[in-house]
Amino acid sequence: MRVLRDRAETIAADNERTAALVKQATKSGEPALRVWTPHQHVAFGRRDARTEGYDRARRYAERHGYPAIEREVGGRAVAFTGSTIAVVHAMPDADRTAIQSRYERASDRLRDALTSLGVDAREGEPDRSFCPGTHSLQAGGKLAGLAQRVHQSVALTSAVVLVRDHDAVAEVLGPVYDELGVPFDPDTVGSVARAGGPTDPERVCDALVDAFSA
Amino acid sequence: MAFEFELPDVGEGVAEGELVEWHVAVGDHVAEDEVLADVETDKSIVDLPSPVTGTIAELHAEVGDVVPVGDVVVTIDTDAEVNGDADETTVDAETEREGEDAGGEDSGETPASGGRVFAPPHVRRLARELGVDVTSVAGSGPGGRVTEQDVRAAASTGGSDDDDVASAVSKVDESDSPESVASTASDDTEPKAAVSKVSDDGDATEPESAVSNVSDDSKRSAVRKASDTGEQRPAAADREKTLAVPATRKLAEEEGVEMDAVPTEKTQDGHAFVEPEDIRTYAEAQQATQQQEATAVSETATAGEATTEAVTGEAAVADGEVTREPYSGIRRSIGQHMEESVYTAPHATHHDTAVIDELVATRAELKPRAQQRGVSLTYLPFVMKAVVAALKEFPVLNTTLDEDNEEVVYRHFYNIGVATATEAGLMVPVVDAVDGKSLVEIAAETADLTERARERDLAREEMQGGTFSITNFGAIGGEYATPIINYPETAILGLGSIEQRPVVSDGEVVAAHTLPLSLSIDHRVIDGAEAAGFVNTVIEYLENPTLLLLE
Repeated sequence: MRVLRDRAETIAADNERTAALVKQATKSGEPALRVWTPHQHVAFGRRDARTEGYDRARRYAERHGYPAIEREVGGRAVAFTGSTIAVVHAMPDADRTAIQSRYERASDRLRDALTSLGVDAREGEPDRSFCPGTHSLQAGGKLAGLAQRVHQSVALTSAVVLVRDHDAVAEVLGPVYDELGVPFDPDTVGSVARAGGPTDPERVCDALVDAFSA
Repeated sequence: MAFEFELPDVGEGVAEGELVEWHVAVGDHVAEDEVLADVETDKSIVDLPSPVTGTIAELHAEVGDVVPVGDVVVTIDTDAEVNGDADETTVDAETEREGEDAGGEDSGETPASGGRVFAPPHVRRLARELGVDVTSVAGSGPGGRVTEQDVRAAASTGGSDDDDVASAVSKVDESDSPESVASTASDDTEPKAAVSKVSDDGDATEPESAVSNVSDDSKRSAVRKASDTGEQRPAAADREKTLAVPATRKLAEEEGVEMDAVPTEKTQDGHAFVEPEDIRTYAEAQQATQQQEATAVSETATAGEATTEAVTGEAAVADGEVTREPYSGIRRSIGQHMEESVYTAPHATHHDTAVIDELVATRAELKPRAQQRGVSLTYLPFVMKAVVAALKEFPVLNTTLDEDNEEVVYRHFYNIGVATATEAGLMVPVVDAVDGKSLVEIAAETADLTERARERDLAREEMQGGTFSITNFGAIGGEYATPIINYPETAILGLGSIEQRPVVSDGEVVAAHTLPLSLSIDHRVIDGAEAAGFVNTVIEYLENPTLLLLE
C-alpha cells in the first residue's frame, strides 16, 4: 500500500496531492493511505453548501483564519486546526455497497491506533456532536469521525482525528454550525489529549499509519 | 424505450439517500456508467452511474430530496429504441407469454396491451372462434387495425389452422427466455407469429414476409376492404350502464372516450364491464379513423393544402398513412408544464403596441459601444429594464399564488426568465436580479444563458427562481400571440417583431418602428386594469428610453 505522510505548501496543492494519490490508486489498483495534518481550514460538506446560512458560515470561518473548502466525502463541517489529523484511505475496485463494512473496518483500526496510545475509545458520539454520524469514536467527547466517498472504481474512507485542539475546534465550529442551522454543542468536542493520550500529532499519525497498514 | 432508473441499493442496510447533486439535466445524452448524480447517505457520498446509454427524459428528484431505495430517480430514453427491433420483439414475446400463461378465454386479447395490434373485441372473438392468432394478421383497417375480414381472410389461407397456432403457443409457453421465443417464432415454418410482432411499425423487420404469408386473394380482399371506408369506423357500443373501476373512467376521460360506447365482452353482475385495455383499443381505433378521414378530406380539398402533420411529415410516407412519434422526454415535460399552467391559471391576454423610433435610435447609438466591450446589444435588455421598472410600479405582476395558504406572494426581487427556443424544446433560463444590473451586464448575461440553453449546457438552477418571464416570439416573426404563463409565475410578456408599421402621428399616417406587446396574466391574481397599466408603463419606458437612465 502506498502511504503518504507530508503536507503540501498550500491548501489547494494539498487537495491536489490527495486527488493525485486517489487517481494513482485507481489506476494501479493498489490501495493508498494518506495520514497528515492539513493546513488550518474548515471543510464544509455538500449539504452544508445548500443551507441558507452557508455563505455566512464560510465568511465567519474565513474571518477567523479558517479558509473554507468544500469537501468530497459526506458529512457536515469539520475544522482542522493544523494539529488535527486527516486520514484518507483509498480502496480501488471496492464493492460499492460495502459502506458499512468499510466503516466498521476503519473504526476498528482507529480504535486499535488509539488503544496503542493509551486511549480507550468506544464507538458512538454525544448528542449534538460536530459532523454527526454513526461511526464516530468518543472518549470524553467526540475525538474521531468517519465519512466516505464512493466512486465507481474507488472508495475513499476518510477520518478526522482531534489530537489536542478540542477547544479551538469547538470555538470555530460553534458559530459556523449556528449559521448552518445544524445543532451543535461545543462541549461535545473531545481529543486524544483530552482522553489522556499524547499531544504530539506525529505520534498519533504513526499509530494511525501502523493500524491502517496492518 | 423509457428506462426508469430506481435508486439502487447504495449500501447494505441503507434505506434512503439524499440527492446532493445532479450531474445531468433533462435532454442530456448519457453513456452507460456516466455519473448521473451524487447521493449522500450515512455520511457517504456515492456516485450514481447510469445503467444504460440514452437521453435523460425526466429527473424525478430535486437536490435535497431524500429518496427511498427503489424509488425512480430518473427516466432515461434508451438509445436501444433507435435500432432496437430486438427489444421490441422481446417485449411482445414477453407480453404474449404472460398472456398465454394467464390462460383463460381472454388470453387472445393480451397482445393488445403491448400496443402492437389494434383489433376491436368482436374481431378478437372472431379470431378466437376461427382459431386465428389475431396478432399474426396484417390489419388492413385504418392505422393497421385488424378487421373481421382480415381475420376471415387469414383463416381461409390454408397456413393458419388450429395446430399451427397451438404449436406456436406451446413454444412460447415452454420457453424461459423472451429472446429465444422471438427466434423460435421467426425461424419457425409458421411465420405468422413473427410477422405479428411487426404489425404496427412495419419497419421493425421485413414487412414483405407479412405479405408473402397471405395469398393474393386475401391481399385483394384486404385492399377492397380498405377502400370500403364506410365500414371502417370503430364499432361503438351504445349502453345505458357500464361498470369500470375509477382508474379506467379516468383513462376514458383522458382519452376523450364515452364509457358507454366502448365495446367489451366482459360483464360483471350482469352489466358490461370495461377495462383500461378496452379503452385504449377503442381510442386508438377512433384516432386512426379520424386521421384517415382527415387525410381523405384534405386530399379531396385543394391540392397543397395542409394535411395533418403526420401525413405531410415525410415524403417516404405513403398517402393515407399516419406516423406516430413518442410524446416523451422534454416534449412531454414542456407539455405537462403548459397543461398545468393553462388549466390552473385562467389566462387573459392584453395587447398593445409601443412606437419605438427613439429606442431604435438609442440602441443604434449604443450598439457599437457595447460591441467594443464584446457584447452584442439587442432590444431585449431594454425591454427587461422597462419590465422591471413597470413591475416596481405594478408589483402584483411579480407574484405567485400560494393556493395552499391562500396567499398572494409578492417577490421583492426581479429575476426575469427569457423563453428560448432550442432544438430540444422550450427552455426558460433566468437572469437574476435584473434591477441591479446595467444594460451591458444584462445583455451579456442573457446572451450567455440563451446560448448555453441552445447548447443544452444549463444547470437546473439557472432555469429556476424566475419571477416574471418574457418570450420573444417576434424573433421568428409575428405581431401578437397568447403567451402561456410560466407557471407558477402570474404574468408573461410576449414580444412581437420590431418592424416599421403605419401609425397615426398628428393626424397623419406615417411609418414608424413598432413593437407589438402581448401580456398574459393569471386572472385569479391580476385584474385587467393592472395588466393594462403595466403595459402602459412598459410602453412609456420603451418610447422614452432616457427614462431607463433613472432605473
